[in-house]
Amino acid sequence: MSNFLPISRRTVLQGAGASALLMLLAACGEDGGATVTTTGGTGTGNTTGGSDPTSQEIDTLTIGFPASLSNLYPGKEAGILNYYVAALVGEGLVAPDSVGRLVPALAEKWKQTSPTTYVYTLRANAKFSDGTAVTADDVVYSIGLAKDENVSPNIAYYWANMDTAEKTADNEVTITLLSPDVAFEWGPCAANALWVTTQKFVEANNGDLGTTTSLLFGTGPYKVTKFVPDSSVELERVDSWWGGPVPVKTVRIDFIPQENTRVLARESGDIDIAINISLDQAQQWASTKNTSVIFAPDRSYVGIDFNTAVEPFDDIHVRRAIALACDRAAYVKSLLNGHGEVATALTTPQQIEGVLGADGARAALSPAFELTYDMDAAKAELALSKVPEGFTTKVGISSSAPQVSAAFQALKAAVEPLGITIEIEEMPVEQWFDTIGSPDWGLAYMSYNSTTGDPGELATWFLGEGNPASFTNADVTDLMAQSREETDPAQRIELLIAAQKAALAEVPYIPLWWGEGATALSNKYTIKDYSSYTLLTPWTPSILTNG
Amino acid sequence: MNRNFERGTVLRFTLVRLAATALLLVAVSFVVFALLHLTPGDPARNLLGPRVSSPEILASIRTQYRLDDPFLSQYFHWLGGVLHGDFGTSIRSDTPVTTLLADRVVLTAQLAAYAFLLTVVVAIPVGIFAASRAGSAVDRTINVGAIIGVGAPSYAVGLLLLYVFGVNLDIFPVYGSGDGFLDRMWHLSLPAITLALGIGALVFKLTRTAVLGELEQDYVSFAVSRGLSPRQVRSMVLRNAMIPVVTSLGLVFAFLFGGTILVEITFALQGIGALLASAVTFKDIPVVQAITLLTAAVIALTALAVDLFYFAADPRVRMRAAK
Repeated sequence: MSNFLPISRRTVLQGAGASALLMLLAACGEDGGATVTTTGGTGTGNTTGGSDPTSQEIDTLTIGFPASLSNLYPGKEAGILNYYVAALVGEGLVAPDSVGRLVPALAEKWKQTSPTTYVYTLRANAKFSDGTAVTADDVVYSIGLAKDENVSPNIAYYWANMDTAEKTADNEVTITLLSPDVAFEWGPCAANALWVTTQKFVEANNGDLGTTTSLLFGTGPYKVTKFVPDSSVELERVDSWWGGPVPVKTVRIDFIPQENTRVLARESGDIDIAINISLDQAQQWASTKNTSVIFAPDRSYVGIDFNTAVEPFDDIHVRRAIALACDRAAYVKSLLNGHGEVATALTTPQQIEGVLGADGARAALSPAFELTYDMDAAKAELALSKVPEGFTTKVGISSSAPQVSAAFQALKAAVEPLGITIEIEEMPVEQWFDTIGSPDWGLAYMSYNSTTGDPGELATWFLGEGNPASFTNADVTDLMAQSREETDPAQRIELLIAAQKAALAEVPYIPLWWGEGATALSNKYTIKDYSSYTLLTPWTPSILTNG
Repeated sequence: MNRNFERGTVLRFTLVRLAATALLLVAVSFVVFALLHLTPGDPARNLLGPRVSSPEILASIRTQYRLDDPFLSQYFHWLGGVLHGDFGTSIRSDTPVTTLLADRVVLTAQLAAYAFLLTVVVAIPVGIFAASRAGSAVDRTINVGAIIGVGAPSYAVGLLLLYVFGVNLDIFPVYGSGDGFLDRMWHLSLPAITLALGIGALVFKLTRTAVLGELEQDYVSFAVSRGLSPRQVRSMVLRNAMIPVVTSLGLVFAFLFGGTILVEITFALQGIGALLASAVTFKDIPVVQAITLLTAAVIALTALAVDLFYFAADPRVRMRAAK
């Protein structure tokens, strides 16, 4: 899924001014008492002293989101925050665990019986929030909804390769594909493209899903009791969930688009947890009283895209020169304050750690892109190009991506002595979408949060047909085709990395960094095994109360 | 002057203005529709965000919302719907625009009315008071306060109020719009004060200037010299001074109704200001159209109400209209 936020944030100037004001006020106010913790993919949350955190009954947990939701159904509006809500209300057949391996959800087990056939056995005790049992017909109907381009424009793509979904026994659904694709396993997952509901519910709401009147109806541990678009959503515990009653009775999620207001809401105790806090205001969060900040890798990729069909970026020497001028280690250290790591591939380490472990993942990914900062080499490379004296180009940057903007400012300064002028245009996030793959924007960037734990997710788009770089390479296409059919996870990762290495040798993309997300929470609570997958599963049982 | 004749004049004036307002709204809707078309960005692309998609899915969204139709065809389809009471469906939320706006219009109107009330109740009396003490230390102090009020950006004032009254003193809620009327008013207090501080400072300056201007008129000296009581003189002065003040209040209300964006975002209020901001960047055309039309209608009707007030308050205007 994208890091697309449905509402654009305040301008950097506004934010900076207001932040300065708030930090000044905070400095005059009470002492801060924040704990800052960084967790790895398999790490634990923060511990703030006292006895071990435990799972305790919580009457109401109030969460502050940084942006608004206007529809609860991710098929209609697929921001990451929509997924976080839907994960509490709906379920797919499978779900990710904390390291990104698929585990049973509504299906108690599944098997691949041929390269194009998947058979799912439904668990017997699965119920909807009104207590009715989940049937194979419900699953087949819901898959049909997800595949429908009009009902679910945001997820229909993931079902395009499906041929049929059929009830093959009372508790069994069989899905056949048009062509083999191992990544399909992530399709029927609430972290990606399936939330099982009923035909009766959809028809009773005239086909509406996720709106203020239709809400959502699913099999998860919560039901939606109230949704005010752009304001809040309230969830009530469902005691009949197959996983057993969850400890948090009511979840209230408030949408607070102004980050400074969200800080004050935490400080006043009005919200318990602030999800996805702004990294450029991390210092401010860190000085908020009774608050802990947890950083964790979020499977995000940020990198430069060249449209190789547009001059002068059709010249590999130009692309290499810019790649050599990117001081990626400095970007991570200075612009992200170390909350991220230098990217060497389109695949993020968190998508292969489940197979290779943390160190093994990084070791496997590091050879995919090996150009490092070297201005002399950049100068020499540009001299070999058809524009040895340099050129002028432009790049469009979303105003909600201050770190990307800062990275391009640094790059602009670095390449200026080479005669390359980069004009940076800040724009609303919606206008930035139009720059991706556009012939008007030879130089662009991508900020992408993977929906799934599938290591080929971004590579399938970026190295496949219709990619934003207009890039073609027969060897890469062949390796990607092999990876779609390779069922052994380790072998598949090898193929995907080989494809990326072959492609990135031609520099259609420059991976800059893999990012981290940050969450601020009351010192009362801890999040168990916090990772980028946590909020994509029924996540309230992970909220532990500190002793 | 004949009272029936006056009534006829006022009625004719009102009808002509209402007809002009309807034409104005059509013109505004066309201009806004055209401007949105000219701005970069594609609503279908915005709906999908920066993620992999297929040409078929994009085409399906474009067909669903008629985005590939010629510009005029799209406009007249929209206008035809509006004439039948159908303002269309929001592209972003897939919700009918009327449903989307219903609660938000009430919230923004409540916020604007609250701020308006604070402005009237505080700024006008203080303006009269300052004019009556013109040049004194009190007058100068209030003036300095007003200059700060006009100059301070509303988002910064909002945050300052939140920090002091929401967090430190814990008197008012930090964000949200509350449930039920009293709770709603409680939640809207800080946002309304934020709005009223800026606009109230302007009304204060205007009141002070208007009252001072009247106090310097010959008729005041004449009235005093003829032995009218200070109360009678004050009544004459205030009545005359209020004409420009009330005119400005009409504009103030229209400004408040259309100018709540920053305050709504700061206090996480789901009013029409915040919705308009996101709808414009998303190119959610039906939503932008509905909000701009509504705002234009409020401005036009407020201006009409002010003009009707003129009729009532100023005999000179009635005479000019009769001629």
